[in-house]
Amino acid sequence: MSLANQGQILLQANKPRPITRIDFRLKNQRGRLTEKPPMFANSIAIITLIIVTGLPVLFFLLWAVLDGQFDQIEATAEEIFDTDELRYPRPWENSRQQEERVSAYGRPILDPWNDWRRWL
Amino acid sequence: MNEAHAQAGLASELQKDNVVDHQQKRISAVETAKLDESSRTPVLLGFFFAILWLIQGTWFGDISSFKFDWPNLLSEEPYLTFGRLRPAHLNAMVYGWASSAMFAVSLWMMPRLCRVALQWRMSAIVGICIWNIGVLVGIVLLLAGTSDGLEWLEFDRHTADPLMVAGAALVGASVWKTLAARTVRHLYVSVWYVAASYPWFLIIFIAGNLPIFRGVESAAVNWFYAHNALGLWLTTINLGLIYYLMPKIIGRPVYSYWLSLIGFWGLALFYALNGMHHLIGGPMPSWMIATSITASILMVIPVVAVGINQHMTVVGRFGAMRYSPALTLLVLAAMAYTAVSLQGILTALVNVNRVTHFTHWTIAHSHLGLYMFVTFSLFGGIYYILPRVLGREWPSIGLIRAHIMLIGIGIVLYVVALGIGGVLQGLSLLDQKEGFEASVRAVKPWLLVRSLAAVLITIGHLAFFFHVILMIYRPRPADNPPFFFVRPVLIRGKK
Repeated sequence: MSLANQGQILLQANKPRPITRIDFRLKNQRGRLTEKPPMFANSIAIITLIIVTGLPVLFFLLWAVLDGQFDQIEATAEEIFDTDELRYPRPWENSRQQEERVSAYGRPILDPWNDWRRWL
Repeated sequence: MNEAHAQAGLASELQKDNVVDHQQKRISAVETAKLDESSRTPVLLGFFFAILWLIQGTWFGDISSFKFDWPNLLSEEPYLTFGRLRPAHLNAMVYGWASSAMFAVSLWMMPRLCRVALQWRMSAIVGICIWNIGVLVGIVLLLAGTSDGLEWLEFDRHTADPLMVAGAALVGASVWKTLAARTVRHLYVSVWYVAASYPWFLIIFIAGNLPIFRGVESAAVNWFYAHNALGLWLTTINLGLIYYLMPKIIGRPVYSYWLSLIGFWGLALFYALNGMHHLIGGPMPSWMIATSITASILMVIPVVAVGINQHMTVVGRFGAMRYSPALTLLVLAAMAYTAVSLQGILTALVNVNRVTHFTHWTIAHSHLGLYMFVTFSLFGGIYYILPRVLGREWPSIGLIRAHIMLIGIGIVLYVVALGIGGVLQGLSLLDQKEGFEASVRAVKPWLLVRSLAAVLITIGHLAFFFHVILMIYRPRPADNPPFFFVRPVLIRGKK
């Protein structure tokens, strides 16, 4: 290819191209163009997923209320402790905290060594 | 059949009785030990796989981090390139380490909380094995170059993912069967958290892996999954663990049980809407972004409720952290949960997101959540659970202290360095006068600090791994009492 031809090709390549308008309209099922923009307007998938994830929560909340799950709040909070577990004095507690423990849970178990050993 | 009916009737009677007075229904430490025995095998299996993945995932993360400082490092082999190692790191940590450990934690907690031996134990054991085979297949394929190309969902949907679904379903079946067979009527808040996590995870994981979504909707479903995997899977089981162990170790009930319920139900109701805030600025419908930002802001309610509750439970008794490494890690994890949640809410705001999106800030944020909250919580759980399940004490106080110090300093350095670096990077990217190279120069020193932090964390993990092996092969003599009751472990204690 001669140098002149190469120059012509280069010029053509650099020539400003006419601005073309892109037709954003979509074709409907009958093949006709619609005015609906191709924007992602809704996500049925996300809406469905949120309902599937969230609706059972409402159901279980209703069940919990009707079943009386929230009736004995304080007792439920203490449900995790074993027998006499709250009567053991803890070495990090100050005297006021130890007194609170005694008044709330009764006489302390002063020799917890063996029990703690069993628990490891 | 009749026997089954009789057992069901008995359980129902026990549940009814329990309404009368919880104080009289407490069980002894011996009975608790029997419940632990029922879940021993699956719990140990879960922790075994988890610790193996922890070490493997850490190496993947380290090499990925070093590649930012030395781009030519290990770049000859395709399986060692950043594009494969980085997703391998994420998936090994989320599905290998965290999820396996969470299976173990769930299966240990449920019998204790439901006051019944673990049901369908074999289902749990098989489930954990199948899950880990799935993770192994996924990691091998990732390194070989097979990826689904979706964030947090890189594992091959034809091979690895079905195995993981089957594994999680089998473990979940054991959890729910134990819940159904419970002998207490009132469900402690940890039960709500743990039991809800399994169906949530299965729904979001299956939905995220369906190959039917295209284009923008694929991105939307991807972030629906990724965000909810954090909030409705990783967060829930770990909050359940913290709500159980923190009062147990301190020796007092949670400060306000009402607040704990607000925390759970608030999360359950608002969280699923949050994921779209990852796509701010993307070609998403504005209503979806606005809804997501609103829901993210609403998350202040459960987050603050949990934060206040956990703080007030420990306040005045922070000295207990010197005695118990489990409590130390759980308190740090609880603080990290509050911090990462508030940071997440802040990041969901458009003006903040404009700076931080596509920067290393996101990596700092995810490590604050996935490491300082989730991993610290699981370490705390392991420190508490393993001695009870194995019947052996941790042999070295020094190794515990070294582990906590190394990972603690490491992760703070990591989050601070990448947080600052991410903001500088974001501001540089927004500055039209500067080229892209300027943003790279701005963040480079902070990436080096991140690599240093990663080394500290790795040494911490190796210390922990070595300690677990030591515990199995050279346990402390059985007549030694538990360290956390004898002397402080973390600051004043002696070896």
